[in-house]
Amino acid sequence: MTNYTLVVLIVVFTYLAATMIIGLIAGAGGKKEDSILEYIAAKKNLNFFVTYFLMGGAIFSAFAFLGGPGMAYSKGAAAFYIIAFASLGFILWFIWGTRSYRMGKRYGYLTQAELFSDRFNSKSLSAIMAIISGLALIQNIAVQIKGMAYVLSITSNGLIPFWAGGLIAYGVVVIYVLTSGIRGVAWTNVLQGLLMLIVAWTLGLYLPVKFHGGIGNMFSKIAETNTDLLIVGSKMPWPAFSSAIIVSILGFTMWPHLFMKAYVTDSEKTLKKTVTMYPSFAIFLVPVLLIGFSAVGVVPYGTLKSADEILPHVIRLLDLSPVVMGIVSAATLAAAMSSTDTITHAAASVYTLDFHKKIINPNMDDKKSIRITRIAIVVFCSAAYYVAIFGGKSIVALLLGAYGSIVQFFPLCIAVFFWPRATRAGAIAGLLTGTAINYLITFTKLSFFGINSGIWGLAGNIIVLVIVSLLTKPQKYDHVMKFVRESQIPLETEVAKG
Amino acid sequence: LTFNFPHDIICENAYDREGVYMKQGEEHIGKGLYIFPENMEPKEKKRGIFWFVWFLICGLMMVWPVYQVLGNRIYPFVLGLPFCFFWIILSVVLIFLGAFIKFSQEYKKIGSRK
Repeated sequence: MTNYTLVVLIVVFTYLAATMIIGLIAGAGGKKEDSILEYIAAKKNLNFFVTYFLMGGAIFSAFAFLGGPGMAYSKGAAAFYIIAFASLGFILWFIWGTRSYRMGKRYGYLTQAELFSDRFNSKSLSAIMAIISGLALIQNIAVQIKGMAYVLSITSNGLIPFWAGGLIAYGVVVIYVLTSGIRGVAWTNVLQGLLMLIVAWTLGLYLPVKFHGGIGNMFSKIAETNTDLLIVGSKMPWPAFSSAIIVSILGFTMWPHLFMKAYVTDSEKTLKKTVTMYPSFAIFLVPVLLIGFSAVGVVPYGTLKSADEILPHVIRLLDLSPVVMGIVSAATLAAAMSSTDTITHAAASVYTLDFHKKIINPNMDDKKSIRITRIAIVVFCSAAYYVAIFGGKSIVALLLGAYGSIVQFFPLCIAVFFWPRATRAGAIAGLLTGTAINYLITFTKLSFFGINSGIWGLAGNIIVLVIVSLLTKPQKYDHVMKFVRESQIPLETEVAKG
Repeated sequence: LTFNFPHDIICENAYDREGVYMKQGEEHIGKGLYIFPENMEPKEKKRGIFWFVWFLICGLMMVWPVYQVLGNRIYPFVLGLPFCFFWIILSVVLIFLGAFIKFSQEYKKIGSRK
């Protein structure tokens, strides 16, 4: 092992240790009462500062330092799609985030499916949602684990093998999620968020200056030599670009790990403030793309095995101090870990509350629930780890299908709050149709004008939801109107407080 | 907890189509979407629609056909960025601005009630 590698690894492991310590301390504060409400939703009282980073950590994933620059480098302007959906995706939370929050405070929901299954009075709906989200979340975690393993193996110069890299980084995450629950997740996200932001901006502004003498110069050069990189429609056709943005915007808040965050905030004002500030994360993605653009003309196309390697490759080209390399690696790990912890936590909570409690054992007490959640965390992370390191083609296809099916929760969400005529049969039939269409397109790789499979799924989903609902008997008036009316009214205590 | 609502529900679809309020029985669920609260002030309703349209425009700026026609060009450079990059950032800034104004409107109002 060279001295260079040693220094890099020391920096990276210092970061890992710091994260672990913060995660463990955060949990120790709120642990006096060992309840499931505390473990999953921090007694529903996280403040704005923490909630902001909690939500932000979810979007800055391994994609931020690996996939994002890679996409800008190889596909150019098509990468704007990430900025587009990150900015608008969360704005819709003004509409159903506040409504979910109010219903959650009134009726004690902790997960997305608890709200939906209560509205449609159906345990099977909850189970179906738990299965789809479980598979989708495993896929999401597996991608992050691959990113972490990749970073550790590359920075250690192959000293830490791929499998061990994934194990070490994900191991740290699992330990603080297991012991500290959502508080551990939230406070480590603050540290990880700050680290990512500082590194992203520094590199995003430094690299164009270093390689091209400024951002303007860099883009002038690209405009002359690689014109198609700056035009959408050449590297990615319009229907694919537009439909990917639309599906991502509609599906963004439907992800269980984000939807659940409506139940952890301390007030409606905090929730709305988080939504208001959220587009700032889209602005933080700008330097990520600048990193990718800066490599155009510096790293010839075809020299890399995969475009995702562009950032580590560029850093090595620069011959910077190993400390810088260590910090960049730590930031990449932070980006991946801050998503993984939220998702792992959400997946286990979804399993416990939406599947185990609904289908297997409805009379669980708090202690048992936490134990089941912890077991679920271990099971989920083993599954995700297996997929990440050894995953075969068929497993990956199964998970990818679920990943694209998350947006199919969207029509149900609209129905809960705005369409009281929707019935249980309609909701289940719609969701199954949408998911089936999505799977069909994913498996057969059919492409209709390049439009995202989620759009076709949504079309089928909505049509079936409407037709089946109108053909079946309406649900009880008072019950369905409760979800329309009470979700429109802020909590009494908050109106009084002002 | 009691909620006192008028029993005649505005059924949005029927309202749009026939221009009349459709009176519904208490136990009858209308077929349309129930978008606005029944006792919402017209001013608040207008405001809600305004913000919906605002964010819709911001969204359309980023997809076909608006982005293709207006934004998808390299020149002129703005602030050192190609026009298309600037265009996307502009829409993000408009979204941010909109969210910010919407938030302060809402909470200023509740503060002044006190």
